[in-house]
Amino acid sequence: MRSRVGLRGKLISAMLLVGAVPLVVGMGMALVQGTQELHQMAGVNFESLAAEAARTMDLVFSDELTRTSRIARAPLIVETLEAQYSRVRKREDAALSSSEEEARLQWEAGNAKLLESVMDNPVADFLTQQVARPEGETGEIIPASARAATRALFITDVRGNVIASTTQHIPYTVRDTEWWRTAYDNGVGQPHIGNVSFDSQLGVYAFHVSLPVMDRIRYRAIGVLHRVFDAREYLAPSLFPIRFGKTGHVMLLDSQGTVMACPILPTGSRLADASLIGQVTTTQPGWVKADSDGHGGQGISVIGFSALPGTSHVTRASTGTTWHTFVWQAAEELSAPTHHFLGWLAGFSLVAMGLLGILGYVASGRIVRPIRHLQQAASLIGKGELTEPIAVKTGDELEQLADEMTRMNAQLECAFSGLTNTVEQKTQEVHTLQVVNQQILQSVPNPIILLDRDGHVEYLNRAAQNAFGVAPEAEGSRLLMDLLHVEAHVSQQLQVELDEWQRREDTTGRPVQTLQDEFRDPLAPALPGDAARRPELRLDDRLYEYQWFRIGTVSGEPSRLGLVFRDITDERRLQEKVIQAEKFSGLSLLASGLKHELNNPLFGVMGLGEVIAEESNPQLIKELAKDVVAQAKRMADVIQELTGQALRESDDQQAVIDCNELVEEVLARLRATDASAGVQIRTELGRLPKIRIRTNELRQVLVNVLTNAVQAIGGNGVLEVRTEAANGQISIRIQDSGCGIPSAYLTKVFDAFFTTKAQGEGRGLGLTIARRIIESLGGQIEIGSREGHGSTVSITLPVMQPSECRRVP
Amino acid sequence: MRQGRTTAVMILAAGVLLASAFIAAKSAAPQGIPPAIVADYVHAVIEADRAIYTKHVVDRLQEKGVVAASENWESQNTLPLPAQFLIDSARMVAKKDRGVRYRLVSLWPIYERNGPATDFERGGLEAILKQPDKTYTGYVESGGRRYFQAIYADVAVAQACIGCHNAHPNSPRRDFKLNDVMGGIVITLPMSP
Repeated sequence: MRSRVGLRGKLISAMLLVGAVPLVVGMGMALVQGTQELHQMAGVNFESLAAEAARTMDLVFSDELTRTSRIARAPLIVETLEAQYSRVRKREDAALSSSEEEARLQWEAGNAKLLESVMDNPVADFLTQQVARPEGETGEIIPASARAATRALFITDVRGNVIASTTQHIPYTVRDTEWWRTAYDNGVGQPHIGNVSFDSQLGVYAFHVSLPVMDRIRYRAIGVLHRVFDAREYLAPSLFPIRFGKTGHVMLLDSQGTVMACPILPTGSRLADASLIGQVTTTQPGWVKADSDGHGGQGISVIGFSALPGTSHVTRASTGTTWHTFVWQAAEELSAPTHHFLGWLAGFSLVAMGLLGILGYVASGRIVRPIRHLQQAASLIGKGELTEPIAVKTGDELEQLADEMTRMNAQLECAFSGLTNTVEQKTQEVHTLQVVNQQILQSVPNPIILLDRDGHVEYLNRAAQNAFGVAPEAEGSRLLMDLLHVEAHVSQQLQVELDEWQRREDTTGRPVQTLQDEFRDPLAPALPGDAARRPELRLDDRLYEYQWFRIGTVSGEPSRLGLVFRDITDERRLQEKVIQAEKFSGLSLLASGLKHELNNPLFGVMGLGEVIAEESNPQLIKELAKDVVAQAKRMADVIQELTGQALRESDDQQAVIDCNELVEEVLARLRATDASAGVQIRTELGRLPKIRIRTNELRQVLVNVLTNAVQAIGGNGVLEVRTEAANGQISIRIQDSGCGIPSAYLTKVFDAFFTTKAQGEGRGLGLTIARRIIESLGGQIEIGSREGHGSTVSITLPVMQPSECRRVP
Repeated sequence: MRQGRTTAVMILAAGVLLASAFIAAKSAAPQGIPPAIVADYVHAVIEADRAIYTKHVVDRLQEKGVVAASENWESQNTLPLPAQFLIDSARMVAKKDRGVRYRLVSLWPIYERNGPATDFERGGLEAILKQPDKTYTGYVESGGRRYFQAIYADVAVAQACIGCHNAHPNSPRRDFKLNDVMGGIVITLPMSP
């Protein structure tokens, strides 16, 4: 249920997203771009408006200067001032200063006579007429606003003293003021337009227009005409009608940021944002996007500005400042169209999104319904319950998919039925194999134990159960060592071997399987070379050989170990008997040899005895008697040897011996024989550990091998005997410089009754017996030879003899 | 041509110096160079300076497109007009207060202050309008002193002169043509120190 809603929801939200993202991006870009273009457009408009306003204001000021200069050139004023100039020139400076000071004080004190002389003279009357009359001297109309805005009109002489004025609210002496000094300009004369500042006497924010009155002939300044305007009143008629929108307007400000006239800001105030002043008071017209609007508001606003070129030419020369128009509209009003447009756009967008949602719902329904059908069909296929063809008739890929699924379902059904049969068959086979395996294992006469990884007994075949006295049902989870009741050191040995087998697998992560490990039949006889290595153990009264083997498992699982035993008790007993029989057979051969050995001297003695009996020469008889004795001695030696051997045969006890001592003993006896007369015997006996061993058996081996060697030398030669201990083994190496053995015979030297010696010299059993004995001691005997250069016999014996558990009592 | 002019300028400059010397020495030796000659010297210097400025500075730079001349040259970073050059030079001379003054006057001034200040000036301007080649001279009195005044016709020698005067919103007359007399240069010399 949730997934159905999910797919439909996803489709609808995807459609909405596809619609909404471009819409939002588009709106955002439209807002940014629109605002930018709006600002650009407004800026350009404001700039041209500011330039236009600046030109207008330039004309206003230019007209004003013209009109004012016309007053300054009025003959009455010029003549009056020329006369005044001539008068002043003739007087002494000191006298002038004192009278001026006196007049100034009287003026400030409001001396009626002085006031009257200044304000009620023909010049003053003329001035009053100028500001009162609607028509100027030349008949031009001075605009009523300009006349009304004129707060003061007065004339000063070359000393800066007032000589005529329309008002008393002015200082008497103005020569220290900037506007007088600039206008007078040391007699050269220069038009002056001052900045707007608060005039405390007139009580308004005012600006001065001061024009020099020039001497007509000498053409020097002989006085100054001053006109003081109420800034706001004068500028308002020209500036304030320029309005656009609700807030758009033009204001005039100087380059110091002082507002001269503004419909909103009071005259004389300064722009709140000082950084704005520099931006808008450039010489060239322009517009800026400023961070503040200069009217106390924050936020981006567009401001157009332009300098008054003509007026600024005068003001720069007068005060160093320039005058500028400033066009501004509130940011909210400026961007109102954009916001309005965006509002509508947002509204339409919502409607569009709603439509998209509805369309998405309908469209997704058409897509989702067949998919839902397919999903249900797939679910039925999963359970194996789909029997009907899937009915999706959309005529598109979904219908193809439904057909494919129907086909797939049919094929799956076929495949499943076949697979089930195969599985049953295979299961049967496996079961049969298990039974066969079981039967084979059970019928094998050798005890077999299978272990798990932990060394617990997993399986015992019947032979094992019998051999180790375990009830069939008591296999349980027992450790191997608990099952086998063996002596402590044997158990330890087994544990070491078990650990070794397991470790070989563990260190590499997988079993180290040699060819032997892998393919060797554990029941097969030991391979040549390690015949004596197969370990044995004694259980109760039986002797077993045993062999570890590895059982392969399904890949990935660790392999297991098995242990197979072979009862060799009877075999070993038989072997011992054979050796004994061989020994007796040796005795009979010995007897035959003895007969041969004794017969010759005996016949000699008999013959000598006959000769002695018939000989009369005592001297000769003596010599013959000596011969008899010699022959008898020889016989005694033979007998001695025979009896010594017999004695030794009876002594068959184990003893702990040093093999070197045994070697020395045998060699001592060898040296005593005649056969070794020409033989140089060298020994190199290393330090050997003592071993427990049946001394007589080893002695016999040594006698047999050494005798063979001496016989092989057959006269003069070298016999070397070396012993050493290494790798837990003792090795005895016997090398002769004799005739050697032909390679053809080398493989046969250990066979019984094989000999190259003459009758009576060897019975062909020496090496055979030697090998039996050595192997029964757990050692090895090998022979190597080069024909004509001698032979080498190597005997190795294990230091740790398992002889304790080897012999059957 | 240029060589000749330079020589003339040098001679006239020497003339101005001589005129100054003459004015300074007049109290000692009343019999000196007539003021009309001195005024000619002064006028030659003034005109030469303005001609050099007009041709070699304003016209040249304007033709090459480097910088133009305009009335509001300070705010617009341009060159002063030749007329402004002359008027401002006159202001500097006035500042020296050596007695000699000169100025541009016209019957159709853009600025009122450059109109004729006296009847003599008005008469002189009208006279030179008719006879541009003849200098209008005379003596005037002001504040009990005598002054010699000479009015020289000022002719529109360059297109820039008539272009500006015909286009300026304050200009009373807008139909000037080349070589028209647009006004005069008034040179005033005091006849006593």
